[in-house]
Amino acid sequence: MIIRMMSKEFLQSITTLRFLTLVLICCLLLPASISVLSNNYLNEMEDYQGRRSSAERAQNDPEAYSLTVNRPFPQLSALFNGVSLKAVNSIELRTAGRWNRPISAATPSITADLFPAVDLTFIAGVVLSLMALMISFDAVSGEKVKGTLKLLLSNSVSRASIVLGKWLGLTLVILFPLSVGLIISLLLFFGITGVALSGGNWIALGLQFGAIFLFVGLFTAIGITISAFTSTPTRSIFVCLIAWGLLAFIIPQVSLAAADAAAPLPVVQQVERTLRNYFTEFTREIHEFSKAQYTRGRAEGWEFERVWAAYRDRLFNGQMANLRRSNGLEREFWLGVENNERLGRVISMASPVACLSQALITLADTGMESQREFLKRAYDYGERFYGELWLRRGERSSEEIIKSFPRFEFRETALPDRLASAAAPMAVLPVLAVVLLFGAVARFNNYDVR
Amino acid sequence: MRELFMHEIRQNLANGKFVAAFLLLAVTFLISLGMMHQEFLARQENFNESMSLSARDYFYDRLFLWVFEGGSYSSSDTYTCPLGRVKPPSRLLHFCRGTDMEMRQSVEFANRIPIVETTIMPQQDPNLLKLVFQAPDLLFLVKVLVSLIAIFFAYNTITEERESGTLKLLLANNASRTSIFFGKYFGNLVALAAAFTLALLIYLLFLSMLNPSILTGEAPARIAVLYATSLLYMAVFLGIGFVVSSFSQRSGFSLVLSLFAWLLLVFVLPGLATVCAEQMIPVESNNMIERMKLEKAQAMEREYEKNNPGTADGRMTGYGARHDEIRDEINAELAKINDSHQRNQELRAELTVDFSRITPVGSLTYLYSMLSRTGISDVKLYRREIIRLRERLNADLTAMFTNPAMREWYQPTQFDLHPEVVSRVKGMMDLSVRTPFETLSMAESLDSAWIDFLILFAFAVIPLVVSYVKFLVYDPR
Repeated sequence: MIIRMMSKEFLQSITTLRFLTLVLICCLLLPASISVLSNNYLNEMEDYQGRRSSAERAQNDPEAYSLTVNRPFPQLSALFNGVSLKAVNSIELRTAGRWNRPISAATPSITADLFPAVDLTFIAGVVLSLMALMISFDAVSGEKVKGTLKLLLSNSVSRASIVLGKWLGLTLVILFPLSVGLIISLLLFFGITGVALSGGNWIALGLQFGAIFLFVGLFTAIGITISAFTSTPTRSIFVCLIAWGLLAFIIPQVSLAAADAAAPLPVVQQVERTLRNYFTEFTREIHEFSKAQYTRGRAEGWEFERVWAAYRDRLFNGQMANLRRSNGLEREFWLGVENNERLGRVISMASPVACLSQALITLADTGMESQREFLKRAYDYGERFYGELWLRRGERSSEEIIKSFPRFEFRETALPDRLASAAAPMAVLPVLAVVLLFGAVARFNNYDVR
Repeated sequence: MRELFMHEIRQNLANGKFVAAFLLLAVTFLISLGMMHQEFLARQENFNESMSLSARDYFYDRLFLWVFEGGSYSSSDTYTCPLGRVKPPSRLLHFCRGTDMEMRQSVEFANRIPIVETTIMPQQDPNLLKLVFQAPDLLFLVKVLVSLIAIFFAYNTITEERESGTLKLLLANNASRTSIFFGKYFGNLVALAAAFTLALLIYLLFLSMLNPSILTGEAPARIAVLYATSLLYMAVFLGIGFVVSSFSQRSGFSLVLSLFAWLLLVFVLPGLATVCAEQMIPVESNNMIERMKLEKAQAMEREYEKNNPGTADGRMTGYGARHDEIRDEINAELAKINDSHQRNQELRAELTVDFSRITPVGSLTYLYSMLSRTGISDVKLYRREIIRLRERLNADLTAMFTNPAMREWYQPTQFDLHPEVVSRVKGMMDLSVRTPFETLSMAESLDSAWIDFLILFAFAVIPLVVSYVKFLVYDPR
């Protein structure tokens, strides 16, 4: 019975102009956005290659004074930007001045914030959810107004199978053009960028598409449930609109505010002030020290070498102490930020849109976890490098150490790890869909068809 | 017509359209206000911090070290000239974040005299989750939500009356098609505008409590123009809904078709403008520019060392500090790279904005950003100011270092600076920190904005005319 209802709903829908528009959206808008994203990806890759080769040149320079740590651009970040376009992606480790110097991520253009790039996370979370609601909002109330619902029920079809059949049919109606659109977009993406995905990324991509499909199914269920609780299509559409606004915009924002209230963020300015004070203390000390050395050395007629060695020792000791102190403070600060972030993520899981974006960017390896991992590894690498510099001071020149120091390696997070952190938000989607369908069936069982 | 107009308004109230629209707008506006105000406060705090005494002390310290080293010994962080400036946030930041990120970075000047500016990392929120769920500013809500609600108001005005059969009755009742059409149009427009206005008034009430400075100076006038712009933009989408509705026979179809138009106009076309501009004017990232500058200076220094063997010394390469003879040449080259990069960036940004301005969303974005003082012209003005400050400081520094008395004031072996130098340096510091930023007046902000008003107006009127003509021959059966 469900199958027959489903095929009826499916066939009925694909012969309407509504379906044609859906096809247009999936096969025109999606590829158009993907070509914009592919273009961005090419720019980012070019920038990364440039950064890498220039870091390589700088390291092999006979007068090298810095090592640069670069974060490779994750392959799937082309489709699911996450935080990859805005977070720090390069850290310069200098042997002079203040050790450790994060460099901003590429700020691609002044207008980036005026016309933000629309990536697949946004299209799936905001646009597809709206489309699913628009396809399903009048599933019950529309048939009631038209009068066909009475006919349908007089046909001795069980009410549960009507709801479930409608849900399956309408979901398939969206998934069909959506998968065609996604395939076209992927072909376009590979054609423009010429990227070869690794095996793990293929699986991640498959999971991401699976999550998007589940999400569409969930929103069709939301539409049908709303439709079963309202009596006219106009009313259902406005309830749908409010639900959409709530899930896509309001809950994610409110959950951030709630997290800020429950686990306050450490104040950036305070940390910066302390870091600055550390550095000021250090430079003052060095200045005073060299002043004293100079006067004393001059009075006692020291060799230049002796003055230099004492100065260098003092400088390196000071730098190392400063680095440890600052890094400790920064770690503590990031821990506070992470707590706030974790809480925000958990609370925002009340909204399926937030769940979907978390799952998508985690699977694409452009989420918060991998960014934190990069920073942690980069700082560890920096401390190892400076430790080496400090240990071998006097034995080897810093240029030699820089040249022979092992290169920084940062690989994409392994698939099982990504899966582990994406599992919770992904699991919310089917659970919520089942709950809603139950609600819709229960409500429809005593729906007044007149 | 008047009766039809009143009827339409009553109907909108009765079926909950008005209430739903008002609720959705009011709630999202207030949430946006809360989140954007946090951002504003963080920016303000940042600005205060950089103007504060402890920051001043820190910069004095670094500046003295820099001067002590004879105007930059090398460009390691210890010895860069720390003169620079931070822009205070716009008071109207809540309305449009715009190019704020660009103006958020504090510029620092580096190298030996003449000093060249370097790009400092923009201050960004440490919480990465806030990059994923970025707080919507009012512009975003108007751009996305208000237009969507307008579409929902309009999509079935004509088709629904046909489907329920009331259109036939109306026409039989001696009502002219013109009065039916305009009664419907204005009835919907007024209901929608009322919902928006009420929500905005609540928003403004809370905003003026949080940030009373929006009640002073030009700000109220700017907000009034913002309001007018939003209404025009709303009319554009209402008109589009009417066109679709009058061209289709069934509500379901007109809904999906108007959503398609909405997606195209709101999300796709602005993105295409960015791509077109990127194709026409390629611009390197800031990272690459810093690298290019370094490599250029290194190459020039090595060239010089090849021609004059035995001049290499232990100082760091790449900052033009190694050889006094070619210092000015190097700095001129670096400034050239910097300036051309910035010019390219500005050109591309302008091109993007100009491309996008032919669409309603582009016009809206342009007007909002200009009125909130976070537009392209504001970035340009900011950069002009930075260049002006750089020239001024360069003149002061050169005057100080070339002064014959400097030999007396400045002796490296003393390890302490002469009071004369100290007072001059403090003067420069104060000059760079205290000089207020110039901002565009409203007339300047809206310099070429008549085009945008015209575009929005055309987009609002043309669909209306088209749907009116179509409605005259609409088949009510």
